[in-house]
This record gives sequence, structure tokens and C-alpha cells, in this order.
Amino acid sequence: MNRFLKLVNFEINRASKLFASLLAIVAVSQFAGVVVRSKSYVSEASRVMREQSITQAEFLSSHGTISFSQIITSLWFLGPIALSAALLILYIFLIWYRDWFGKNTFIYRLLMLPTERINIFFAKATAIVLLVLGLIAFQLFLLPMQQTILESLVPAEFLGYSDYHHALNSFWFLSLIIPHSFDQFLLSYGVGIMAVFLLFTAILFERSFRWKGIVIGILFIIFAGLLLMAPFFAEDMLYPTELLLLEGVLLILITALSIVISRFLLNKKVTV
Amino acid sequence: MKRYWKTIVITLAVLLGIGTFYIRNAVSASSLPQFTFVKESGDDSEIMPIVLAGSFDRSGHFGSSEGLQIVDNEIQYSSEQSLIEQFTEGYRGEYGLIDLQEKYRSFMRGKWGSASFYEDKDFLLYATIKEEGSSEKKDFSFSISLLDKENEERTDIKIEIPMKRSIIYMGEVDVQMVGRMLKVVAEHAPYTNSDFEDKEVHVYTIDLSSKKIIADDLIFYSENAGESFINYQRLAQNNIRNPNKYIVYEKYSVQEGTDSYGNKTMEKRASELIAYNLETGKQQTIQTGRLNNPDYSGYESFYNDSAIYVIERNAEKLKIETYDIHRKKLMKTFEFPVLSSKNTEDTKVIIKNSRIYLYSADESYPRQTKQPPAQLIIADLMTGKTVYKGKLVAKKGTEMEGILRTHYMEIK
Amino acid sequence: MIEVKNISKKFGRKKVLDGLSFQANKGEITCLIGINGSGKTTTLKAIMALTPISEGQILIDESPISKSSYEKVTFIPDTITMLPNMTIKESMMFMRDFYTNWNADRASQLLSFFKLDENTRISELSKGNAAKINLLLGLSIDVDYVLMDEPFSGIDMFSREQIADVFNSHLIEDRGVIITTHEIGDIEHLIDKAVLLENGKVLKEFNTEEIRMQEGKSVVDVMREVFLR
Repeated sequence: MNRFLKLVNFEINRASKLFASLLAIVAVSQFAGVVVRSKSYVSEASRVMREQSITQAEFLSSHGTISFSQIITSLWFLGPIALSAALLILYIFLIWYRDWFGKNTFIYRLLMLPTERINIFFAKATAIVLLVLGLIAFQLFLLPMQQTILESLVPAEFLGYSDYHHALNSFWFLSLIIPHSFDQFLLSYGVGIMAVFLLFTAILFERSFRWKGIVIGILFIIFAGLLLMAPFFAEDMLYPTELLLLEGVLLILITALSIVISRFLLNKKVTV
Repeated sequence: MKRYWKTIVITLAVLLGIGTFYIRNAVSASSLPQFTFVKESGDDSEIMPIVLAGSFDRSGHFGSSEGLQIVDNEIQYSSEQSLIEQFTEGYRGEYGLIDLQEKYRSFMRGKWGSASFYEDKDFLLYATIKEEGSSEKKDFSFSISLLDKENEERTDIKIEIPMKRSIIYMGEVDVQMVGRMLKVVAEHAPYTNSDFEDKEVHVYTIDLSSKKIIADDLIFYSENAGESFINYQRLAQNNIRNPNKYIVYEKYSVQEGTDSYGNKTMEKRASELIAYNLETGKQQTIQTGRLNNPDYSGYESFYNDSAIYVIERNAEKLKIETYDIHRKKLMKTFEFPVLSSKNTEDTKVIIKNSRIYLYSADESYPRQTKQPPAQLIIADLMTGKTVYKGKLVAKKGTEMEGILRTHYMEIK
Repeated sequence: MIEVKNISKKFGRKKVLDGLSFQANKGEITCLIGINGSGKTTTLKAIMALTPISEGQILIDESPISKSSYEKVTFIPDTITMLPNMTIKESMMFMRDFYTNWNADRASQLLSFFKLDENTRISELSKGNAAKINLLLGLSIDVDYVLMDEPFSGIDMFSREQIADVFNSHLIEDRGVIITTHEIGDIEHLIDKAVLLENGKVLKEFNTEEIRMQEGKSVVDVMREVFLR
């Protein structure tokens, strides 16, 4: 096994506790959400029908059925996803800074490994991407089970649209992280990976030039953002396919630039 | 290998989990209702040019409704489209320009808006009004591009529009050619101090060889005296980029009043159609009593060449009267049944290709979970004969409670 | 041979290295001597490309540093550089994973010499034991050169003795060693060459054996002459 993969594995092992706790929080909260929401709807239905002595049809026309989208947009469901997203974004910074500021300066060890230093950069990025996609895969694994639980807890007459595939687009963030078509998935995560690379480069600017580096890093990110948005200023002049193609090319170019700069900084400028 | 199990497990989970999800998404049938037109009588090929855009709102569903398009009698939900499809299809919703874009890719670059085009067998012409400057002081100019189809020669012209008064907005509504003269019909919204929105309709005559504006004719302008208003409304044109001798406006007067609650009301009093001849600059009035019906609104009527199709509807039926501008008389009257709905917007009418396309549905709120299927009638404008009649229903097994709403119809 | 040629480095306006040059040969122990802030540690980091230099050149066996240099030179900083929650065993496995020239036999010999348990976590090690593990990890790679930053500072007496034993052993013999210190006492008898530093400059570079034979001076004598002049 080559040194890059060993580094990836090392980073994954370092993050495994955080990752396991996120999986646990997501699973517990979401399953609890499905059960609580389903049960409270059913008991509410029977209470309303009993107290107001109305028929099932009347209840349904005034209160409506319960659908999976109602569960998926609840805090039980979105809360742990938002928490995971926030922690993983924080981890983009942590994955570098803890090697400098952790108890034992591990960055000495990493920078002195007999391998291209850019491999450290790639390994850390790969680890982040694997953790993110791992959480997504876990969510995809949970969803059908959650749908089954909903369907078993709520009588069919009270059950609205329960297919989880289309429940996902009832909230913008969910349709961003689990889009319906694969090319949108590629775009979402292509942009995501680029963003991770840009932040990594900004971090390395800071680690190389300290205060000045923060400014350069922020300017670099703004520059990349403007470059990516530039085709939209000329949107009228471009056909949709051209716009899409141009954005794809820019995405690759910016990512490549980010790698080239990071490689230079790691080899020549970074300071322990 | 033991030390690598975490990475291996995560990697496999990612590949399998995400892979299966997308493979199944790609191959499995949609779980949303598959609406298609089902024929009751007539010829199936008649429905092919219809493009419908709308949304489906699942009952009991939280969050946004599902955007959809029906093209070639095939439904496509936008949430199930790939990124490339979303990006290229239905982009700006102008099917009317797709054929031009394919044929003249370079000329058409950066040119949008069906009303800004004129096409005959020799030329393709594009004219638009460009706006520059702040809201206080705006400068307007014509940006004109002419394509000689035969030798593919292209001419671009920019002409400043001299301003006599301050104008908030100015936009072209039709572009025509009469000989070598370009006619641009533009609507102005001059700057006023009152609440009343002024409207002026100008016809600019531009000499393409000398690149000069040689005439600016003010043909209609809104008027306001006390509580009565006179306003103008352009009728829809069947094929706006085709050569057309006339432009047709509805002139209507409105009386402002107060209802029993003290709210302001606008009551339509009288209305007539005016056809302006672009060749001669002469106006013709077509009187029709139907137009004075307060429920009538001019934007639903159409004109084409020398014919005006006046559309009037009530809860159960839609009446269409064909007037001939030259002969100044009513030629034909046809009636078609529509699905009754509280909202008149639920019925969509388009006249094109010597057909009338009549889509009627009941999309009224509050949510009616058992929505009656929408009805489509296509009839020949010459004979009044129905060439297609059908209903828009979900395919068997995909029916679902919810409401289908259409907000756009276009005929390719 | 490690050649440090006229290197300079600034931190802000302050020059930490100012045209510094010296050589360290294979089979010799070269000692960089100076008070804190004289540029000793920065020099070692510069050799390992852990900090950029603004001027000058560093050559290891006549070529500039590259990724393969890290299998030729090892740097033992004054703190341990393994993660606190790793055990000694895991640390050694980490080294074995990444270095083709990791010498597992030597590592286990050293471990038993230091009388340490491989299942101890890094965070549980005393300062002295951490220094020993640091030495173990550095010396168990079959490299030509070893750089050590203050190996004796802040360590208890018994650990010092053990470490000094390592210096006297065959583990060091054929290698080129660069060591930094601000108190020469412990190792005066070990070193072959001394480089006296002040404010990022070399004040004097001399062979300890020669100076003892020719001028009858100890390293401390020379230091007194140079630093207290």
C-alpha cells in the first residue's frame, strides 16, 4: 500500500471517534423523530376525532395526511444533519491546525515523511471527502428503514406521500447534499471538493505567512469565487450548454491552481 | 489489513450506498403521477406541439411542489431531470427561439425575446431597445442586427433614440419590416407625478441603409380625465416574428368608483379594437359589442395577418369570433366547452398554426384532492371542427391525491 | 556531508540567521553551541526544510533536500512528535509504515535497553521517557545523518545517563550527527567538532581534538574566549 493511502487511513483513524459519534447522533435523533412524529400524529388524530366527534374523512380534510416530508423537515431530522455539516466544516480547519497546535507537534512528523508533501494535502482532503460521503451513505442507508417505520406506525388511510426519494427535495439543503440525479451529485460534490481545496490553500497561506497569509488566503478565495461567477455576468451571451461547460472547466482550473499553490507552499514556504 | 478496516468500510459504504441510490434513481420508475393526454376523439399527432409547464402539489406534502413540463405528451418532473436537462431544456422557457438558435447559432448569440425578432424568406432581423444610465436620466438606443439569409451577411447597427421627455421604461413589443424600412413598435412608460400609469405606443421607422430614425409616430396614448381612464392593450400575436401588416390594440375605458366597503373599484365601460396599418400608418376601428363585457380582457385575444380572433368566455364555454380587418366584418363564430373553474386563468388559449388550442382545468384552491382531469381541445380555425379532444390524466397506477397546476402553455 | 552555505532568514525585521555557514561530516558529531535565540534550532529546521530560508543553500551529500532526503537524514526535535493517544507500539508501526529503512530490530533493542513497555501511551510518558522514545524513533531509521535538538535539556539524571550511553554506542558510530546544546558539560567529551553561534552568525568553527592537541584548550575554554571576549 502506498504512502498516500496510508496517510488517508491514518487521518480516517484519527477522525473515527468524531465520525462514530456523528453516526450515532444522526441515527438516534432521526429514528426518534420518525417514531415521535408518527405516534403524535396518530394520537392527535384519534383525540380530535373523539373529542370533536368527527369522521376520519372530516379529520383528513381539515388536518391532512402525514407524509415523509413532514418528518424529514423536522428538527429531529435536520438538526443532526446541520450539526454534522457544521462539525465537518470546522474539521477542515482542525485537520491542519491540530497538527501545529496539538500537544505534540505532529506536523514535524508529517512534513518529514519520505513522500511528496502534497500527499499530506491530498490525504487530508480525501479523508474529509470520505467522511462527508460516509455520512451521506449512512443517511441513504437509514432512509428506507425510516420510511418503513413511518408506514408501519401510521394506518394507510392517514398516510400521505411516503416515498423518501421525493421527500428529499422538500428542503433545499437536502436536495443539495442528496440530489436526485447523478450529474447534480457530481456538481454538488465537485464544488464541495473545490471549496475544501480552497480552504486548505488558505490555511497553508496562513501557516506560511501568518497574518499576511490570512489576507492572501481570503483574497485567493474571493478571486476564485469571482472567477467562478464571471460567466454568469455574460450569461446572456452564452448558450446554456456553453455556460455549463465553461463552469466545469473553471471548476477544474481553480482546483488545479489551488493544488499547484498548495504544493509550492508546502514545499517552500510552510513554517513549523 | 486489520488496521485499515475503518477506511475500507467507509469506502465500501460510500461506493455501494451512493452507487445503489443513483443506479436505482436512474432505472426505477418515477413515484410521481405520470400525466399524459388521453384522446377521446381526433388525431393524436395534433397534441405534439404543445408545451405545458406547471407543478404538482402532493396532498399532505410539506415543502415545495414538484415542477413539471409536458413536451411531446411526455411528462418530465424537474426534480427527476439531470442537471444538463434542467439547464438546457425549458431554459428561459422560449421554445419559439430554439429553431432559430439551431439554425443561426452565432447570430442568435445573446439575443432573447420572441417579440424582438422578424423573419421573412430573405432576412432575419433582431431589434431591441437598450437602456443606459441611472433612473433619473436614462438614455435609450436601438440595437439592431440584420442577417441576410442568402449570403449570411450580418449587419449590426446602434442608433440613439432622441428623448423629448423623461421616460421610466421603454420596450419593443413587435418588430416588422416594410420594404427596406424597419418598424419597431415600442411601449413607453413616461415619467409622471400621478399614480396613474401612463402608456404611449410609438412606431419608429428606421431606414436601414442610412441607419437613421426617420419617423417616430405616437399612435396611442393613455388618457385620464377625473375618474375615467382610457387605456390600450395589445392583443397577442400568433407568430410574432412572421411578417405582419397590422398591429392590433384594444382601446378600453375604465371608470373609477367606490364599492359599498369604501374600496376603489375599476369598472370597464367600453372597448373597441384598433388595427394600425404599418404600411400606410392608418388606423381602423373594429366595433364589437362583446368587448364591452366587463369580464373580457384583451390579452386573451389574438391577431394574425389580417384576422383578429376575439375570445370571450364564461363558466361553461369559450366563444371565438374571427374578424377580417380588410373587410371590416365578422367572419365566423365558434363555441367550445370549457371545464368550469372559479379562476379564469385556469383556462389557457393559444391560436397558432391555424389551430386553436384550448386547455381548461380546475386548479382552484382550497386543495381539492380529487381534482377533475384537465381538458384539451384543438380545433381548426377555418372550419371550427374539433381535431382533437382529450383529457390530461395520470397513467394507471401512478394516480395520487394532489393538485396539478399549469402556469404556462406554448405551442412549438 | 551536510553543507550549510551562507544561509539567512528573517522573522519580521529580526535576522535569526545571518549568513551562517558550516559543514558536518559523516562519522563525526558536530555540535552547534549558543545561547537560546542564537539560531541553533532554526538551522536544524532549515536543513530539514521545515522553515524557509531567504538566502543561501543547504546541500546533503551534494544535492538539495528532497523527499528522498528524509530517508537519509532524521531530525529529533526537543519534543516528541507522535500523537498523545498513540502507544509506543503504534508509533513504531507508523514509522515502519512510512520508512523503507526502518530497523525494527534496533527499535526493539533500544526499547528493552530503555526498559519501556511498548503498550504505554505517548501521553503517559515522563519527560525523560518521552525523550528516549524520541531518540528511539529517530535512531531506528537507517539514516546517514541525525540531527538532534537539545537532547539533554530538562531531563532527569538517570535518563541522561541512558541517553549518553546511546551516544557512546555503535548506534552513532558511522553516522554524521549534528547536535545543538546551550550547555556543553554533558557532551563535551563526545563531540568532534564545535560550531559557536551568536545572533545567527558563526563565531568560530573548530575541531575539538585539534584544539586540545595543538592549543591545549577544552571546548569550554574556547567558548569563554569567544563568547566573553
